[in-house]
Amino acid sequence: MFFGKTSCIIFVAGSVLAASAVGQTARPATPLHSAAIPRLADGKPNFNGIWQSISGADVDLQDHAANAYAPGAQSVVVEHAIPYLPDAAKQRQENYEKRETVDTETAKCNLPGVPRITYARNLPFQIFQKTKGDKITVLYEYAEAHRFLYTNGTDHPPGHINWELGDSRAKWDGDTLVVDSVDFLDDTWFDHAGDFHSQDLDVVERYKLLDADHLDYQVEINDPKIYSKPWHIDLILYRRTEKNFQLLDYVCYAFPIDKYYP
Amino acid sequence: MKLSMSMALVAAGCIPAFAQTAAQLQTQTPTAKPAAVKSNAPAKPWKPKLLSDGQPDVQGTWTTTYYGMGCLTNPTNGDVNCVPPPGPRPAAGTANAGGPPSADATGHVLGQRGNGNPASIVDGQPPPERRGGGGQGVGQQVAAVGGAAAGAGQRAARGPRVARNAPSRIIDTDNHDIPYTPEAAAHEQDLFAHYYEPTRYGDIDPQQRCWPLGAVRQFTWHDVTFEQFPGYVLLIYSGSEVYRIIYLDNRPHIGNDLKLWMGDSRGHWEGTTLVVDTTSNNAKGRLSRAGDFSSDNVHHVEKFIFTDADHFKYEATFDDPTVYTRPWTFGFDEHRGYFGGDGGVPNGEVTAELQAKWELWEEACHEGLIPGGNTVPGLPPID
Repeated sequence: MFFGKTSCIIFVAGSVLAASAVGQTARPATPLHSAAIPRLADGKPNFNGIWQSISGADVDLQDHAANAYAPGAQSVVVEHAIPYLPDAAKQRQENYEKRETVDTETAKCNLPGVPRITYARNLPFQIFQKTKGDKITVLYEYAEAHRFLYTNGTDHPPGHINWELGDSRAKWDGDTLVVDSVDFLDDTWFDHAGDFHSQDLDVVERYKLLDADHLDYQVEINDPKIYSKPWHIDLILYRRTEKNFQLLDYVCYAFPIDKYYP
Repeated sequence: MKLSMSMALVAAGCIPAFAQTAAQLQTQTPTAKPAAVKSNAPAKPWKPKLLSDGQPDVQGTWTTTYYGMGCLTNPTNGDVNCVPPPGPRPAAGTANAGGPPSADATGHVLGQRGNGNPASIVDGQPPPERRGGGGQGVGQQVAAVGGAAAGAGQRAARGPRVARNAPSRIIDTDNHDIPYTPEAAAHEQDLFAHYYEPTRYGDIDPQQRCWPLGAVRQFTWHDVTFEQFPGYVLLIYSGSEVYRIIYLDNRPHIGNDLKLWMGDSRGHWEGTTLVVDTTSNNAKGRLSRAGDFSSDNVHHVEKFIFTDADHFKYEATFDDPTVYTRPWTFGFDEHRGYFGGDGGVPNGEVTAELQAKWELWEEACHEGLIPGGNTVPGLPPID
């Protein structure tokens, strides 16, 4: 069981851990607000709410200048450069050149894999978490997608299974929700710049509240067929706090509807 | 692994649904009345377990005897079970063969427009076939739901589907059909007539493109999982990636000019009935393969009437003066699903432990459209 009876210890340690995480990632430079974080009755950090990236990750995880497609943005890759193996680096360049027709997110509106679903088109998503729940449900505005992050101690099912969004099993590491995902198809990219992976992709996401309204979202990418070593993404997710803000829909695969159903 | 969803001309597949196995048809010896039949209100009111915010606990996955998306007035398995439209039909034994019912002694063919199946028709029907043996239940020695163990382990070879009838989904009109205005009826008939031989892209049911079906029709396409959180009921559907969020916090609706595929839903509990007001429907999904439709003026009041721990009646009003001459009500029964796979039932005993282990797995749908799947042979290409 991941839900221990250590809530009072976690309460004490929470602010220390949050400050520590900020220091390690150097992002942001100073705590945004009080480091007090909301918690559920079981002592776990309470992630309930609507979150959204405002990063440039969906366009290009790495440094990129503004163009007609999107604004520029700094790299969210912790190592700054993605450690592609030589052949993979060539493939990435080919992908980049074909991105307008081959990126399944922008060209087809397919489910975009993990972690891209988190920042796909920078659309909001809502986390549903309950006290002593057996999983955390995440609903994404992007294409009516959902994920279940199982926290009940179960393992990945026997695989390999070809899923767009993989199979996600989660556990708590202190106040950090650690989600391990495998069972991916190999046709999704991490961004519109052609950054890609194989079916052997193993994604480890780490969700950590910095305060009530900011989630630090760190991701480790493992795929020895493509990269010489694991690499990491780090970006901040922001809570939407407008009154009555809610998810709408972004059914991008049906955007051509007027063409077929004038 | 792909779920095959074929249609006349647009080939579509759901990937990568339930990659471990495909659901298999099987027949089983009936030992109990079909679940959907015994969903009349019980003698004693149901006393549900209450969740922390006071909601009756109705979490879990629910299904129905016949999804019945082909024809609302004759909602059986198969594709289009209204009197067949012109054009070639799928070959017998194929997934979408279906077929209209036979004429009765008086010469009436039920399921026609204006002659929908009455509620009593279910009494004359054989029990529904049970699907299962696939998905996560495969290889597990399980016995049937509710102690009805006969048939466990029996697995008939997959044979042609047998069309069976069920009550019309339209439950409050004299002829069990939709009270269309004349203009709307003509449009429905036009769509219906071109179902197998489309002459325009608009003849093709948007469902065939895996587009969302809308708040009500989605219940006729595979199953639905209820999740409950303080202030929310979530409906997460099987068969494609679609969900609904029902807000229980009395917040106002979004503006009615802002239309959504699955509408905007506000709910509250009246005892063990969840009442949901659903506006902002874009109505781009149709209501059946027979061309039934509403407009984006439609307003639904949906009732999920839980009669016991394993059954609810679903009723949804269609109030849309631009299409209908009077409001009408869509209704059917759902029962708790005990699954061995996508819409399937394990061959044998379902224990609480097994059921608790069942997981709703990804069913990406439109991702499986064949390349160029939106271009239909015989129709002019659209750029």
